[in-house]
Amino acid sequence: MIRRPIFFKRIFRTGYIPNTFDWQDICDSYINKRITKPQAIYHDVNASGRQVASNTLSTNNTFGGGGIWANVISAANVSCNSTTSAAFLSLNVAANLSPSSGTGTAITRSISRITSAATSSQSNVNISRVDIGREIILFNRNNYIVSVNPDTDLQFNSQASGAAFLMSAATKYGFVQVTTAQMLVRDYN
Amino acid sequence: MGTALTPTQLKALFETNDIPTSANYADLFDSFISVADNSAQSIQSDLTINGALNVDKVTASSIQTGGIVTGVINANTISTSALRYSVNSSIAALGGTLASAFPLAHTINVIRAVTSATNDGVVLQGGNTGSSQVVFNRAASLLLVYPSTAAATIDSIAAGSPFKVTANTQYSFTQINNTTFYSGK
Repeated sequence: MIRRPIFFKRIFRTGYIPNTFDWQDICDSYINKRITKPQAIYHDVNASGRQVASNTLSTNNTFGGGGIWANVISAANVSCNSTTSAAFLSLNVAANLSPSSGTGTAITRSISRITSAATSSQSNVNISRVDIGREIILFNRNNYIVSVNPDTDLQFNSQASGAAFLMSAATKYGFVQVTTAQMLVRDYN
Repeated sequence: MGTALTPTQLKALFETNDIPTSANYADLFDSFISVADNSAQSIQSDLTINGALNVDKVTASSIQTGGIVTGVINANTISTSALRYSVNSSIAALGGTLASAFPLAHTINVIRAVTSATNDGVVLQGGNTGSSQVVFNRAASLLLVYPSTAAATIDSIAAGSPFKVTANTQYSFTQINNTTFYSGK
């Protein structure tokens, strides 16, 4: 049975002769160096030295500390309050995104290549508000001007909220969320 | 010096009426992670921590997170669906010289106010070779962007001299080494 140190300190006292169960509890209550099956700790751990994992280190929340050194970082969203250094950075890509009529096809990836518009009236995509600091990159690789529509309460540059940004054919633009209400358009052309 | 044993092995050594030897006790003590030992310790299994893990430095072949990294990330490859840059969305440029211009401390920098009469400018952050800073000039006047130091250059401009960003345009500046920045769209 897993027990806390305070429990053992009450049991293991001068003159006490531990029995089988006492020793079993000891063995079950501490992280073992030799065992290979998964082990768990139920509260915070502070380590003043470096933590090395030969396999995957994962968290559902925040990594804190002096830093992370890894061959591969795979994360749904990389945010760092200091410096991010990588030899290669790969972002989520939509390689063949078809625009559509009306408010258009939703952009959900960091990088999207827009292709396959049937007519100019069907060359619409829409970008919704993202986290401040994120950039959505679009390549317009079809033959028509693409209308990029923001949320109704989101503006591109100094345009009216909800007004579309027009991308000529064969152009590349980035849409950077700088405030909750504004995306600035980065002209890569 | 003891030998790390599994819980099953240890339990067989410590049963009622057993008289453990010094070696048995040594094995017991060396089978667990010590909170006081200042030498490197390792375990063979996966370890799940339901609370926070607070460490000075983490090294791993692969790191997966659903949240924010507090500190520095160094990796050969980062693969992610979204990358969030630091943003200062409201900067007023400052005038005069490299020494008095506004120091840029974020990746995305939005300049909202520039006074051309005082040669308002901003200064790129140095010391991060390989990094880029993006400058959006959303003001109505010409913005001066200085390299990080008087010895540094932007493109082929003289050392310490500014790159000029016209109103309502944007440029990125990538640091190639300690004294060289290159501009780009």
